[in-house]
Amino acid sequence: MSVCVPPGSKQFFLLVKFMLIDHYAQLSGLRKYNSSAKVAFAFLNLCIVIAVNKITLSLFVIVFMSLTALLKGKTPFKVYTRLMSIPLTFIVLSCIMIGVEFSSRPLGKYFISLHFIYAGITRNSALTAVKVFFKAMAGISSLYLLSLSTPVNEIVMVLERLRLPKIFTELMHLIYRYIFILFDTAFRMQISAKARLGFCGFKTSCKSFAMVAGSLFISALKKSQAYYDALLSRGYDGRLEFLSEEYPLKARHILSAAIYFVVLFLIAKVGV
Amino acid sequence: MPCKLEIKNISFAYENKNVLRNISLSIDPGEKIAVMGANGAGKSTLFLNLNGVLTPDTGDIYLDGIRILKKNRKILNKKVGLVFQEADSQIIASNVRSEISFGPINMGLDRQEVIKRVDEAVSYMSLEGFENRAPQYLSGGEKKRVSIADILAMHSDVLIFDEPMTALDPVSANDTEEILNKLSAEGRTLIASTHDSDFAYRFAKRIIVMCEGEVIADGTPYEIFSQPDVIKKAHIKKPVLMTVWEGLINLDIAGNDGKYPVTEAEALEMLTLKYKGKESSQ
Ligand SMILES: Nc1ncnc2c1ncn2[C@@H]1O[C@H](COP(=O)(O)OP(=O)(O)O)[C@@H](O)[C@H]1O
Ligand SMILES: [Mg+2]
Repeated sequence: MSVCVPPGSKQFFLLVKFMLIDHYAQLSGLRKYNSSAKVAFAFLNLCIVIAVNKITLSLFVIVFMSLTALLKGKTPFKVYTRLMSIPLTFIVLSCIMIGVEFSSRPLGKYFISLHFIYAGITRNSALTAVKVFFKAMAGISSLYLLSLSTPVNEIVMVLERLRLPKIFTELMHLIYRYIFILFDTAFRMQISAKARLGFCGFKTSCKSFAMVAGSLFISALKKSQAYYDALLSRGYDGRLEFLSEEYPLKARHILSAAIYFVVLFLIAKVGV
Repeated sequence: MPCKLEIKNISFAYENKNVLRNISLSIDPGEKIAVMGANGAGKSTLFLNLNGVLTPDTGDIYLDGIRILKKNRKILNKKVGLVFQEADSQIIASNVRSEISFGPINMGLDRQEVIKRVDEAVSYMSLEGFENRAPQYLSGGEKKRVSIADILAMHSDVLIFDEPMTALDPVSANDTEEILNKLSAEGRTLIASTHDSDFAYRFAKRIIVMCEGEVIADGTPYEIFSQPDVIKKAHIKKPVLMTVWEGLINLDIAGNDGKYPVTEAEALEMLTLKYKGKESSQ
């Protein structure tokens, strides 16, 4: 796929990543767990990770979340590491910025002189950097576990149950439904342009991309008309309402979550 | 309870393009109709009018004698179900169960009844196990089944299928044909548009042919396909079975008693009957 991504189409790539996550969520072994509970679990976990400033806790969360996603959720190892590596660059760079301190005097053990100021790493700054690194990875791993086990449509249903404004959740439904259709259309158009040598060289690529984008817009307009017809044909009168049902919440799952949080609590108490 | 659908002199135009011209039809309860005609003849537009999505510019639609106006068009939505040509433009929700529930919820049914109807439609269309699947993870045939389940859950009396076999693989097309026949056998009125003469010939008891927004022929399959000018004008083909049977009549192999077989099996049966009968009399 990477060969036929035209210039300036980073969005396409992001979409692919998004679709990949949703795809594995559909297949996840954790799919049939109550989705409200999954969202609550991830959210609570995230709060604890942010609030507690302990490396051991972050490490524990990372290991637990990864193992759960891999063993229970059956997300392929390659996919999981690929997904985890997306934010990694960003986090590493940020942590370097945190770890390095600038000052007019030499600081700490390791420093370099930059004529007027010194850049150095102190014990403290290094520790902060490492802490932030693991904290970020812990937060990300817990959100990945949620998104790799709960398809977006089910997350939207949870938001609906939380009484979020209707306009918000209805829009999310539509966007979720349409992102895939439009992506599919875009992908087909791209292939058809490529089949006619539309992406040879930078200039033609740009031109073809503009054409694909243009016709994609037209087709999106047409599709929205068809969508409205489909709504009307089944008696739509301004309310977009669907039946939403949850997977049952099992005592076993509550118990496991409770044990998990007790362990977290203990680590927060005694860990470093 | 099946109902009678009547349209009188309806015309319809998109912006300023006349797409339906003065169409009148009367459709009795339990009929099995195929609508044929070239692309752009106005079949889909006619269906959208029948289902109440579009309102005719002139002319009237009557359902069981009740005149349908803009304000009671929801009766049409409910009584005349329309399965769109492209399942992708019909499916609106982000999972199968929600999708099927959309019609019944709009009809104002209570939750218990909605759940009951969704379950029924799911099992009728053999969609068990797909209930929580998002539409983009379904195959073309599965999406078609979902779009049919959508309409079944509304308990419509008249079912309209816009080119139901287009874009389906042969097995899915076969399944769909079986479902249409089953629904018809249960007493519902069925209308399906198609370009497939062989399907229309064996499926329908009545064929309506459209050309440039007008109904140019309306009759039994045999009547329709024996008019070369209609066949030519509507860009349709003569059914293979009918051509072959005419050849057999010309060669004096099949009897020329005006009785045409509708399926291959029937043809074989008629031939066997004729020749077995001859042998035994010799
Ligand atoms: N939404 C629309 N806006 C304008 N013109 C349309 C629209 N939908 C269909 N048409 C035109 O109406 C004519 C009939 O189309 P349609 O009813 O889809 O025919 P069929 O289903 O028989 O192929 C075509 O010429 C088509 O271009
Ligand atoms: Mg059409």
